[in-house]
Amino acid sequence: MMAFLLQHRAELWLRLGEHVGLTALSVGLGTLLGVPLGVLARRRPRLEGLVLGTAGVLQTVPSLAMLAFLMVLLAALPALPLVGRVRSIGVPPALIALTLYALLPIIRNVVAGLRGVPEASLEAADGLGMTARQRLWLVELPLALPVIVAGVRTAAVIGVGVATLSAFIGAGGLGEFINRGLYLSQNRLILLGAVPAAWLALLLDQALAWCEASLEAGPEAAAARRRTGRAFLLALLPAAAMGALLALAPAADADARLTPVPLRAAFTGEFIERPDGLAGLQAAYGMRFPDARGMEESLMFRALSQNAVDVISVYSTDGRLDAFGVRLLADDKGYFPPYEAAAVIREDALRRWPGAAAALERLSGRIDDATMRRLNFEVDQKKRPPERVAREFLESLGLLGRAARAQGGRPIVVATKAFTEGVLLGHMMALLLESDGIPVKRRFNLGGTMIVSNALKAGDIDAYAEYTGTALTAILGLPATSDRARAYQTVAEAYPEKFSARWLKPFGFNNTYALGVREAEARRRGWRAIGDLKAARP
Amino acid sequence: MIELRGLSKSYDDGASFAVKDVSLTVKDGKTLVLLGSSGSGKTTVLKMINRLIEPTSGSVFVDGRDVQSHELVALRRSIGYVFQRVGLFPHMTVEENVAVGPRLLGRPEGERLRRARELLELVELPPDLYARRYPAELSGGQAQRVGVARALATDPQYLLMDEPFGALDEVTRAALRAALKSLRARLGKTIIFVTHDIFEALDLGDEIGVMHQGALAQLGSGAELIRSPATPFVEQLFRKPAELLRA
Repeated sequence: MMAFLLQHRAELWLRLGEHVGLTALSVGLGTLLGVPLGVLARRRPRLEGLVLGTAGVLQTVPSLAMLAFLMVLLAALPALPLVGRVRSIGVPPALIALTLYALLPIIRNVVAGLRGVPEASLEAADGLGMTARQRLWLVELPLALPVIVAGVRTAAVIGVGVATLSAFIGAGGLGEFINRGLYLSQNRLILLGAVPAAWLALLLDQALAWCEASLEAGPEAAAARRRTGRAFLLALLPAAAMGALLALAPAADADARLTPVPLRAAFTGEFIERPDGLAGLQAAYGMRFPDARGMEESLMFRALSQNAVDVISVYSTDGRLDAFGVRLLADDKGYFPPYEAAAVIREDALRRWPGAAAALERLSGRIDDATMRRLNFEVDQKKRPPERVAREFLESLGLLGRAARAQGGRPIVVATKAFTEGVLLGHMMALLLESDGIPVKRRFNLGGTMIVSNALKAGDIDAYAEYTGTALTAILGLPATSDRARAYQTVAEAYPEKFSARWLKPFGFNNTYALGVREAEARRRGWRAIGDLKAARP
Repeated sequence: MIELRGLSKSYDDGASFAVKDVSLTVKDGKTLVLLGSSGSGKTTVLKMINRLIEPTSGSVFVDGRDVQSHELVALRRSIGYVFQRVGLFPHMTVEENVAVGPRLLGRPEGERLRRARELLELVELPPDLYARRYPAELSGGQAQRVGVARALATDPQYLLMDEPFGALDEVTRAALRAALKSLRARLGKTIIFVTHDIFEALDLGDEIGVMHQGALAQLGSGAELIRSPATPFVEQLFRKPAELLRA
């Protein structure tokens, strides 16, 4: 456990800092916007409905939908005066979304706080000859302040929670760990993000509760102040102890020997955590990416082309490589193991449907790298339905005979992970089986490798397309090999015993990991292979 | 001098009147008591003087000048006002409450606080004991003394008092009345005092204006009202003090 924490120590501080920064900044902006809006709403009863209604609607937009919408909006936005182009991924959309979420609780409490100012105080303020502005600053806001602070407190606690989602769009924060953990089904990674986030929410809540109590006068307030102060310290203590322990523990010196590469990198969560991913790459090349962040695969290409990052992790058959002008760097050390795709199918399904293996193997050796890239391109860039692309491809090879009538019996459950190539292969597998009259049930887009392989082991699914490299290192936990045939042979021998499943003959292409950079920049800086990055300047 | 001429207030475009055609004059240094039951319009009259309520028709002259020609904020700062609900600011200490008026006039802080302590002495609240308290830590009588001190802080010539002792017990009221009389003797303020208590009115008023259903039923000294009531309502109202007087 301690080793795991130490391994992630540097990133934990980084993510914690990002999280606090995002939350504090957005709540600060929300307060700056919300207080005047609340005052306005209170002043103009006709505006109150509009202001509170708008803030309320914004609050109900699901967080992910809000982030996605803002990304699209910011991407479509032309360059603004003074600000310039606002980046559509990373911190700007996250900050905007969090600020919008902070508005409702703050505005609502400003209005409620102002409404709660005693009528007698308002009458006295007028009778004494205060101007409207003096009345606001000397009487109304001070009296409403405890309620306003309570609103800020609500906003801050909500903010800590929502900020975990900004990791989806590359804004960092503790959500990075949660995302990665969910993707890889690694509970301790999830907890590494969730526990500090919960702690942070608790601390902020108590700290602001103390502020709230401090603003009230009188003997009861003094007691509340002491009580909230104690609660805050109590919540702070374990966090501080844990933090000190982590800060004082001796540094793992493994990282120190690696050359830092001063480039902005974005990797998928899977790439960062997999043994055959980032860690191995850094060790093999003797370099590290200090400024690496996790990002959804679907966002990385735009991030690269918009110059928000310099290096991304990609798959060598990705259809977007050409469209976004991405150059693949050669793996000069032969680090990335081969990832040949093949259909994996449970033995009991083969017993039920003896013709299934032959049906699926009609596709073996028929897809090369370029073909796969083209098919991916059809779906990812041309936005064509994957099922149609798969069907057309099979038809062009003449692999779909006259559709046979489906026979009765328990169907074969074909699954896919949630990415384009997997889904395309899933459709092809399902279509091939069906054209031989074998009934199929589709369970597509099942998330990450671990989820799918666990489902295979449990018999919840019968067949899906897997990659030799992935199976070897991530699933079986065996050392990687750069030998294509040996990788296949190893997994094919291990699966019948470990998963009661069989590897069919590979489809033909090798979809390995690769690092991608902007083509133009690579040409300018003379980057051909991964090793060239070691000498890169910022 | 404060002069009201044909002052009326209607909240429904003239269908009914909260205050109807009230005219009267209060000479400098004198105290006028507006006496009436609740709903008789006496508080409305008071609030129209410093324009907390704007009249429907008629006018108010302060020092011979129509209040409509005064700048609103300046007008209010030149007239002390004591509220029935006191209206001390709960987030300010007693001395800060008293010093609000000078603060609005931009007086420096040292002068403000000195003035506040002076006034607390005047209303018989020892500053060392009370200056730093919050309103929640005061009794009703103490709070109203602070209210009076606050109204006097800018040394206005005029003082409007809206049932200031209405919510207090009889012993406290008597004490506050005595304090007010001694204040008045020393400071020579011109006061309009609203109450529903006949004995309070007789005790404080150089003149008493009886309000009934929004109109001024009779205006005169206490003795005049007892001796020769102008309407059955006034006679009814002053029957008890008249009997006491005879006995």
